[in-house]
Amino acid sequence: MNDHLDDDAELFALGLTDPERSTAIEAHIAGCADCRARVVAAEAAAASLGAALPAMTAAPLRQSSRWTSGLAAAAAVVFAATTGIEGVALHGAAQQGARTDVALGAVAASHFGHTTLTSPPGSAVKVLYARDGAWLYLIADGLPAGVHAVVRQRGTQRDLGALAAGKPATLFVAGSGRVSDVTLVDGGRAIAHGRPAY
Amino acid sequence: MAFEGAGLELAYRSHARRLHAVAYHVLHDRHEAEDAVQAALLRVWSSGSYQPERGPLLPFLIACVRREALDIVRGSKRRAERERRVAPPALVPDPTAALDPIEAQRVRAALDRLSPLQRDVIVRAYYGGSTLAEVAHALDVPLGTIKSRLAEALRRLGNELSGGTP
Repeated sequence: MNDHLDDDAELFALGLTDPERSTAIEAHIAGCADCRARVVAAEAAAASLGAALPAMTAAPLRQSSRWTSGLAAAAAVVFAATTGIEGVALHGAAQQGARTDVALGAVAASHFGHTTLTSPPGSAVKVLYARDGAWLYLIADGLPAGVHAVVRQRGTQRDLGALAAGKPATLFVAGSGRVSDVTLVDGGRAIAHGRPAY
Repeated sequence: MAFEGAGLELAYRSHARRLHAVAYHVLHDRHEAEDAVQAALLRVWSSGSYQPERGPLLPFLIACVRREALDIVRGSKRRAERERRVAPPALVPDPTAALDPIEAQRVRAALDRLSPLQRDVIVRAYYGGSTLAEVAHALDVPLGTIKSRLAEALRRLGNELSGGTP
């Protein structure tokens, strides 16, 4: 574990180490900040090389024998009412990419639960939340115009602004304390409500 | 009840174009590229191997997908030996457009600032899809030399891209 990676940091980032060596490298960098920083830098450079590859049109997620039925079913349940996160209703399109990446990083690194909010006919609202309360991710589809998301954190209500109408909208909440309640408000009237069960 | 699969789907939806392009470039087969992307993401999420301190998510995923694709090539797990699926993929490579044109321009400029030897080894090993042994054979130099030259070239490229000193 004390042997640093030398050139293998870059070769690993380029996918050119064999599977056994790759596994050993992952184990090493989990405990070695210097080598981890080298791998992260090399991966950034390798990702930049990939930017010059030909563009592709994405395929929809496809059932495959490679997927365990449990994972596929879980993904299908949580996202049944959405068509993706392209319709992110955050605070300005310019911030969408950065916020999405923050959301992805948090979701990827955590164990989380989910709950479905009661909502008007024709709409669907789900909430994913980190078990430790670090973040909450709201996914809504088919809402009327002008619906605001209101959350309660540390006993204080916060209006997070209007969600996109009709199309799937998402909202990522993190960094201001655990959310105890989520309410969707339409013209002063609550139309949906739910509580994460941490 | 935890739903790691949802994180996996989020990543897929957000980064599918980048990840497929990387896999396709290695495999030249759309079905196999999809398999590689899905296998890599499934591996990441089922093992819980990604944590924020590991670094930014997308470069990490790109490296995972490229490793998966190269493993498929190296392990002769090629599709020719397996049953071909009926469903056609909806994945269409567009050779006339770069994945990220602005970043691609920056990369080309940075590559131009490398030494000819460094640029050559990156082009052969990354864009040309050659194995290190093939590059070593083509240039008639020892494998160890190719490894260190490629590693140094990528470090230099990273410095150029981040505006640091070469």
